[in-house]
Amino acid sequence: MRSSHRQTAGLYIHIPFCDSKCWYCDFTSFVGREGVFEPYLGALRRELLLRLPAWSQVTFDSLYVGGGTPTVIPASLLADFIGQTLALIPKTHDIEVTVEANPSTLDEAAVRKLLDAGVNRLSIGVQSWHSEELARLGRRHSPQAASVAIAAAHSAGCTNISLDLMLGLPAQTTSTWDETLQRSLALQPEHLSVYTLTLEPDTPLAHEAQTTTLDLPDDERCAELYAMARNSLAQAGYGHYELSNWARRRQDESADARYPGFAARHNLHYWHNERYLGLGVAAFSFDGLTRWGNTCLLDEYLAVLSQNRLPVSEQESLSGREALGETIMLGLRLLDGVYWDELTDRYAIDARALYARQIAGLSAEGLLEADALGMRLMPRALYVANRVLSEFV
Amino acid sequence: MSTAGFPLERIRNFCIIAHIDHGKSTLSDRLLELTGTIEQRQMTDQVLDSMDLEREKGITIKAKAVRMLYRHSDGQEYELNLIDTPGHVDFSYEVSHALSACEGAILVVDATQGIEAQTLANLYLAIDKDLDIVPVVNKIDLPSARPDEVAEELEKLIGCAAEEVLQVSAKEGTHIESVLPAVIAHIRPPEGETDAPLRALIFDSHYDPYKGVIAYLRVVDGTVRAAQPLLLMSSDKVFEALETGIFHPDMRPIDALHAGEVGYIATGLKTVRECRVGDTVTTQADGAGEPLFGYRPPKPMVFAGIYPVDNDDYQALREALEKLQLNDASLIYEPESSVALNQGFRCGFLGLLHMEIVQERLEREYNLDLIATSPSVEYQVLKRNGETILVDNPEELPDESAIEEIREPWMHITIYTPPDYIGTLMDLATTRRGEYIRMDYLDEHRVALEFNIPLSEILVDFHDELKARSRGYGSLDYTFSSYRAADLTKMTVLVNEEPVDALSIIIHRDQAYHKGSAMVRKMKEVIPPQMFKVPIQAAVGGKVVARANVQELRKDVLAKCYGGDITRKRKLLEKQKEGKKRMKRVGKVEIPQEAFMAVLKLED
Repeated sequence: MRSSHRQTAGLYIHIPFCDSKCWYCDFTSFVGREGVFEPYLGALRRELLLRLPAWSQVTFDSLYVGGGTPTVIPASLLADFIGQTLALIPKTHDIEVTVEANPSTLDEAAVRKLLDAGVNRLSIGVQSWHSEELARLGRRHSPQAASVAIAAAHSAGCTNISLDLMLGLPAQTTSTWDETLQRSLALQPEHLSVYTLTLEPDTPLAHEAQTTTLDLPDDERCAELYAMARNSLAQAGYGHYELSNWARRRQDESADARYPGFAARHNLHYWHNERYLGLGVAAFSFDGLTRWGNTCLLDEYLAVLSQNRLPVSEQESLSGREALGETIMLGLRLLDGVYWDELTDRYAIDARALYARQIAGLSAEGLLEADALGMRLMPRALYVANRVLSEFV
Repeated sequence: MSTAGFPLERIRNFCIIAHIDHGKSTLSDRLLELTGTIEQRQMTDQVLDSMDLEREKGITIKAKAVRMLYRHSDGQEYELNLIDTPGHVDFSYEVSHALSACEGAILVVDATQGIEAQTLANLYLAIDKDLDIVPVVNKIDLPSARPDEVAEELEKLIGCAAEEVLQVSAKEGTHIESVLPAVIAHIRPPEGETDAPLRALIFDSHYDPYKGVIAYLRVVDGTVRAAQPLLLMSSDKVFEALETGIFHPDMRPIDALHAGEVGYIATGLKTVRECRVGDTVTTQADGAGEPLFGYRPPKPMVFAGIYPVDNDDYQALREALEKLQLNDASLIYEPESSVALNQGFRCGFLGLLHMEIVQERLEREYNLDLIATSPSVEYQVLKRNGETILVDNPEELPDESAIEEIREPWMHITIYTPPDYIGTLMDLATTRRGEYIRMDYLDEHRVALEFNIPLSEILVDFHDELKARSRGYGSLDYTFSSYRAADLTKMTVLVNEEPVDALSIIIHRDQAYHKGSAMVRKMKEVIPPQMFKVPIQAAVGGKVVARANVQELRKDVLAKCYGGDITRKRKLLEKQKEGKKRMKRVGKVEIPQEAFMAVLKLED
């Protein structure tokens, strides 16, 4: 019962290149390595071919090309690579194919090439509509560039666009945040992600925070900004389906669907703790039993794959009970929560009994709602989800 | 190994005494290596400290006894029994019995630090027991070492010639070969009659799950063998030894232990209580008439409640305490209940270090998650009805109207310091209600300051403060002095309007406002943000003397996880959960261990 309960899986491809590094970012990404774009795509392809035999029973229903900034790779090169990848993998007819993009790297011709190769969803890192806020994050693009890029994506025919926004930025106020929300909504994206800025150690922003006052909004203010997002997006008809994610419904969709129709299928694999294959530097994979991570070093990745070996640098296997805890930790991020019968089917453990004490305590605090079907966060717990999730790991 | 017994003139029983960190354990290790008792490659640092905790804290908790065979320059083989002793003042009870098993002691003094409080305290204990002293200056390899000066200090102190004081570096091995010849030359061999009725001193013990209590013996008269009915003289307990043996350094069975020798017997007894340190072993038939010493049980000085964070662990805690007590006769406990913390145990400890060690061992070795309440001393309460009761838990203090007088324990302390720090240490002692007795110059570098001071005032961070004020050069020794009346009262702490009994402390009435506001300030700091506003109040005699509010938790959500790095996400949450260990839910509020110990740090 340990293997994932569905036969579909996600495929993640990491493109670890950027034009410049944003000051808050601690993800694996390299600047100034244009010379290895082609060898890197070749290495990705070799890694895929090495992995595919073990994943032959799986049908991929999503492909997510993330980064870094995938669109720093010239569009025709990237499009060819995506097209070839799709040709190699077993996939569903309606596979979701997402590419992450920075506004400054996107134009209509580029989008057209990607769409022709099979891409059907763009995730655009807008972050803010305020030039001052963007500048303090080290983002290269201007708010105008974001408008232009999104317009280009629309006119190229992209019908599924997700925007990334950030709250908790230096000097952010309720009025700048409201403007960011309203300008985003005016573009009618199919999907919106709203993440709180986290100061990761060893990033330029974290260093700056140590030496000067960054004027970061405190927790109280962040809670207020988050509440604004919830209200505005709900009013605009978006379904809040995960702590940080909202999506529009599809026109033909039934009212009792578990998630809004434009929910990110790829990310749902993560939140359901389902299988996903990750390719590329620093990518993670999970085959239902074991999770592994690739090396974070670009040159090592290239060298290892040139010898047709796998670039795995870390690996962990979870017991059924640990996996159950993770499934709950991830599943509770979804507002729909987790369902007892699904958990029992997957792990043959009565989660309700196992966590009876935690569930009772969290329910008494008004953070969790548990009933005969399952459990889910109460609205007030959306602000302090870690308090709830940490009880299950 | 020989079983007929070594000739007494070729046996030496000795210990090493030193102030903490002066290098006693390192010297022991070198001696074990030198005599081939243990191979160098088998050495983990400080072999004698076998508990992990000892190694971590750099202290020796349990005395150990190792037999070493040594070929002397006279061509003869000697049996050298090294008895290790704890260095911390909390364990002076154990030290005194270990010393009783010896004829001599190596006195180790750090060449950079000179004579310190426990150097003297242990030396005086050794002189009391009439031990021959072999002075050794250690750490001569350090750049700031002043071995000649320290040797002169020792000359003044014990009347040996400064040039006879050995100068070594146990760490580097320098001059280590000079130590054992000095032991043989200056420490007298044991006396005793092998044919007399058996008298053997139990100077330590540990519990072995297969053999029962292993009693560490110094045979004074007679011979002890296995399979012979033996008698413990203070408890009249009769048992048969399963095995006799020596430590080499692990346990090695031998046929018999003779007068003058050191070793062990496996008693088969179930708890160290039945086989107490300081007791005398004799034979049931034709035994000795008089024990070696009057038995005196160790006296706990510090009391605290220990509670499981999870109430379901109460039984597990009881069993863990039982097992720990098998090995630690100075630990006492009895069941206690608290409104805030439910079921737990009131425990008595020799001192704060002992308390800390017990709590850590319970958590580490028995995998328990525990809360310890703030430590208390034992008060004498004279009631109006003429009755006197002992109170070591603030919650047991009777109603004020029923109290005639409360008396608190006072200690006699001696602080040893270079003269530069006299002023600041005087100030430290007097602001803690210390009464100055006298000051003696031991030499131009060293002064002994004596005070009487309430135990409750030195229980907490006094030693740290003393070290800080004297840049590490000051040291402290203390003994119980007397009970004295004081104007004491109970301070109650209310969290979210509910009194939390486990946070009550007994304080001086005139410190109520000061301690009350320090207490609520500290609680506000250590209680993590809660889901709702939580008031904290300190009250004395039903009157609130200070209040503050705990912060509200407003936002706590993890950011994006890229490329499916779920492991990292889980680890972040695990870390957060780890932070919640040692927290106790009281009503609707989660109170961390630090809050219960907040009273310890009220002056910060």
